[in-house]
Amino acid sequence: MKRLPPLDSRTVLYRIATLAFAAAAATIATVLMVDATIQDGFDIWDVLRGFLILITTAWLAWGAAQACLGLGARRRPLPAPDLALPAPATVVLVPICNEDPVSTFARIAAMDRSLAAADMPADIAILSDTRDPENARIEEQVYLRLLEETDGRGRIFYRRREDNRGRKAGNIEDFIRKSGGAYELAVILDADSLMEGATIRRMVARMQADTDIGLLQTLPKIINGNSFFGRAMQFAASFHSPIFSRGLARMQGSTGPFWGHNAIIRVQAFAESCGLPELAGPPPFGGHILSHDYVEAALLARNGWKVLVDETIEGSFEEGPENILSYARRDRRWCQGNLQHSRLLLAPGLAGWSRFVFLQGIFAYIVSLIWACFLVASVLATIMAPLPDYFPEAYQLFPVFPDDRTKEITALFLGIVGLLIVPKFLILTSVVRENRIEGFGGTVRAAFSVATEILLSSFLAPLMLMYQSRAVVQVLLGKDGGWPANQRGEGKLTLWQGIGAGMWITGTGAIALTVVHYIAPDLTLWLLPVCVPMLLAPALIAITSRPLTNALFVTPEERAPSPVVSAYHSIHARWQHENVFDVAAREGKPEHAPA
Amino acid sequence: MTTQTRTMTSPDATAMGMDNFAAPPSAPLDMPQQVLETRTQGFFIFNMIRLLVPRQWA
Repeated sequence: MKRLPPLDSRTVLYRIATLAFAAAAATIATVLMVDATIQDGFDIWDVLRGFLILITTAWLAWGAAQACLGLGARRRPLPAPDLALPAPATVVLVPICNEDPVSTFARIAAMDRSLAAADMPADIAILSDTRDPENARIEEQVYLRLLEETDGRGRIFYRRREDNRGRKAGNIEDFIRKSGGAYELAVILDADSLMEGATIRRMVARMQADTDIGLLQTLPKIINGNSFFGRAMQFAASFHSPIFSRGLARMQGSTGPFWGHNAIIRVQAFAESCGLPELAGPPPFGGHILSHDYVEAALLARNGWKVLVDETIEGSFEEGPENILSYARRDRRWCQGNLQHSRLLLAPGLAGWSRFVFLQGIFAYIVSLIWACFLVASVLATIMAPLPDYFPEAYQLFPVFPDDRTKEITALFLGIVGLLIVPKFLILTSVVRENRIEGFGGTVRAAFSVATEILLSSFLAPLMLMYQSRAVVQVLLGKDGGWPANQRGEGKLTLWQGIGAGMWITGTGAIALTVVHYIAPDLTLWLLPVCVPMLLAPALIAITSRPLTNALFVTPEERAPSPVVSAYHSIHARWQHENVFDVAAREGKPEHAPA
Repeated sequence: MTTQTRTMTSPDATAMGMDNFAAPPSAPLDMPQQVLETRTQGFFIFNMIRLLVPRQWA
């Protein structure tokens, strides 16, 4: 069996530095908190709050450290070898399930054109898991239109599974079992992915040059965002994510991530390493592995294959959720998948870092619940605090006032806010230094975009906290969220839809604020940053789903769209204005054309 | 294989079912199922989760 090369000293140093920073920040926060809370005597609430602030601050500091780690530009450029001919047999896999066929297949037509322009020979296989027969029938028709558009017979394939066991992971596995022997490399995409042919060529060349790489992950940029929320995510993915990913790459070394799409795999390595079993017991903890990508990355590393992320590879795109509800729905699935990884923490033979990544993924969701517990514990501790004793001694002439610890609590609050905000402004300086700021509309506009994104994420944080806490509780209570179909293109929401989806958050916020105001009025001010967005939840859900302004959140991908993106828009627009069924019938499938 | 399939001519979709018309090449590859839980570890984790979420396994 292959073995991963030993960790280089730089990766070890990065890991130690990041962990040390998180531990130091968490310790300082805990000391400040405990120092402030023990003024009225030491009790169980002080222990609980100290413990909760330790965990939450460690998590925030961990993210901040990762960003800081990515701030420094790479001194040595990553290898970018030329493709040696003959090119390895390569297939682009597009798993789909109840997607809009016209959009999905138009993307494939655009990528096929781009592959030809880049002189990169590759087959394309559309792997459908669509269950709805009517949708499947349309898929077949649009597939025939795709063949006519691309002259793709014999190299663009389409197959639909009758039994969609294992969802997306099972779909890929089914292809590898039946056709994997024909290919050396496979690019795995999502239905909303787009990749430049030149990008695929570069990835293939990289895999060709280093035969120890089992998987190479790109950082897809989000495109086609229209709503305020969608454009904010698009901006964050383009502006902040490369820095975060560079930090991640430095820390993870050869046991990097797989995000499920926009990555290339070595088919033989994947086949020998990534046959996923079903976990014993019912969902949500048993059954199919939902967040299969993390597990596949860990299994490749277990078998000695390098798993790398390269944030410098351009020309890799995806679309993002357009509103908070779509985001929360996707998050619910990811939450269940990540919590399911608790079953795999002790899986035999995994690299220590892979286990740590599982743990990190679990924490990403339970930390919301921990924040919620911290807020509740703080309110309860205040309610149950003993009244101050101004005359602790008998026959005391002057009262003894308890020490004021407002400064400590304010310092703690500012420290936590700093961990969230400072990395984003450091990234702004880094982007200016790297001469990339023009792509984001110049320094002033980019600074406004960063500030607005921080403001928006601050307003949305309590909503996300509520959605994520609910998801964690649902999973812990054994409720299976399943794998709902993606609602791509889901756009504007009305205020009524906002009320329907967010009223429970408003109600919770109103109850919390009322209780605190009457029982512990001193805490009201501290809780306003959390409770006000909760009260406004329906309006926030509705407003952020609308396009507000395009002056903010400008990205380089939007200012100068990549050729494959432009090609997609042009093909998509053309197909929408023609009767795809007529064209498909000409391609030779008349029995499927509508009457 | 890529080169082969590029030059391969496909018959008409009407002449055969869609499955044969559009199917990717047949080239089976073994994909052994991986062991993620040993019996002991599975038992341990199973019981830990049951302790944490009793209703889950009810």
